[in-house]
Amino acid sequence: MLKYRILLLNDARHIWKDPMLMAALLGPIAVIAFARFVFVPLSGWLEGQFAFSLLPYTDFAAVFLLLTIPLLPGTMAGLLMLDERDEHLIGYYAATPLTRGGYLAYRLFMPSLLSALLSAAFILLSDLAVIGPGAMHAFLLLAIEAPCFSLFLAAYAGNKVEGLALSKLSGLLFAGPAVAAFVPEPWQYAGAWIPSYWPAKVYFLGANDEPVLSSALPVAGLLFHLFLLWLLIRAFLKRID
Amino acid sequence: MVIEADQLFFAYPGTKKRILHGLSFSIGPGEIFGFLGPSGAGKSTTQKILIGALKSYEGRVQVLGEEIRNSRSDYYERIGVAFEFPNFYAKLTALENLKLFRSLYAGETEDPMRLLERVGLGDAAHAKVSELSKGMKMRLNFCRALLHRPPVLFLDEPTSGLDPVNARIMKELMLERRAEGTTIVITTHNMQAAEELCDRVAFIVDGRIKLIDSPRELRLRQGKKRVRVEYMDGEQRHTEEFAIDGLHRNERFLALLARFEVETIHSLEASLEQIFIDVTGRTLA
Repeated sequence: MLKYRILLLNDARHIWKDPMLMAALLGPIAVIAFARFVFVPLSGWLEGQFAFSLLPYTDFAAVFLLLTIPLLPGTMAGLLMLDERDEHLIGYYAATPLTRGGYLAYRLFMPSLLSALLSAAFILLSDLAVIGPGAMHAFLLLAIEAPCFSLFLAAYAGNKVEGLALSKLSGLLFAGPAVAAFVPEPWQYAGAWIPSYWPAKVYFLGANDEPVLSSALPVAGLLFHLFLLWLLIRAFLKRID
Repeated sequence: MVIEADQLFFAYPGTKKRILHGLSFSIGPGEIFGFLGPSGAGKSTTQKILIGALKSYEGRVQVLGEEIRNSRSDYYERIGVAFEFPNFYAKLTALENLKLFRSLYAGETEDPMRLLERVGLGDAAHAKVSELSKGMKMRLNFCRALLHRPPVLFLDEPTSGLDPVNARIMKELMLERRAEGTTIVITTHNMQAAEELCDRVAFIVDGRIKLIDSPRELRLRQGKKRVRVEYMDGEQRHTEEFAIDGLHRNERFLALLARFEVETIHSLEASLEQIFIDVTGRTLA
């Protein structure tokens, strides 16, 4: 365990020295604070000023904000991996008892753990999320999405600048909850290829008191995410070979 | 033997073209062994197999009695690896980098500060790696490979891109390790480094070993057993060659030494580079 502790300390030092990485870590806390302290007053202000209330869209807002959480630790880990890939440090890790597999496991576990902790904090503390099986399943899928995002950056970006540009593409992921919330079935299944569709869909099921555990959707979402993770691991390994 | 390979064949996964064609060699304890060959000859692939990075080979390859395809993470407690490019975390200091990599080993390790001092980097211990010269990074790279006191070292182009002073320091460091019993495997296309360092070399071309021998034996066997003398006769420079056998009785040679100002005397053993060209029909460029 010592080796992982030292790697963690090294990452902490890296993050501390890099404002962008720091922002990626603190961002989810700002999202939770926004949901808890700003959303309801903002809705009241909008209603007073423009006769438009956000409250009917609370579930959508909750999912929308929840989905930003894995993106941030995912981006952070992805940028660290890009640095290590460009500096050929992964080859050096591979020639130590950590091995390449151990390196990859550590690098993917960290964003997953951070995503899980911060998503759980959002669900429990935001006062927006409906706590139940839908949220719990979404939490599981988001814990897989974070390392997927890290791998996406580390496998497909040519360098750190390209990595930052690619991280902007994460905006497309917000199409997932929009499709799940506003496109009628069965047409919305056309958006099932968007990873964020699945956590949004299962969350809405739970929030609307529809059966979650007896539905095939959580299993399909989980399988889709695991398949995506496998594909991206393969792409990353191919890239570093 | 520390390292033994028998009928080693290899093709990269997904390709049918073999890169290695039946390599067989063995390397003894405390030996410095060099793989020499041009780019693409298969020497780096051989090294990757030996360090456990490529396991889908055919044949038998054992390091310290362990078949490489069955090796696990503890194998890396017993080998040290320094790749050609000395890559580190640029924002960390030399010492911080070594401490980070040292933490990956479960066994006994060296004090990184002592290692840095041994390679002349004591004063640079707290400098960021981005501030170090290539020569300093190469020495730091060597330190990283020694952190866990491995009995076997794999070094890829250990003197590549170094000025003569730093190249000399690196060679001395390697010879020191050999004196302490470490087995060192080098891959290089630098003939001079191989000639100075290696107890034995293997010439690899197109995935095949064309020859294995000690550089000294090769140079003597493939060269002429003669000496060339350069001397001045007044303002004129002349050159003559003599057979080494019976040189002490050679009247012309002795007269030349007595009568003229001799500038140089060289034995005419072959250079390793010339032998490589003669044996393989290829240059190292």
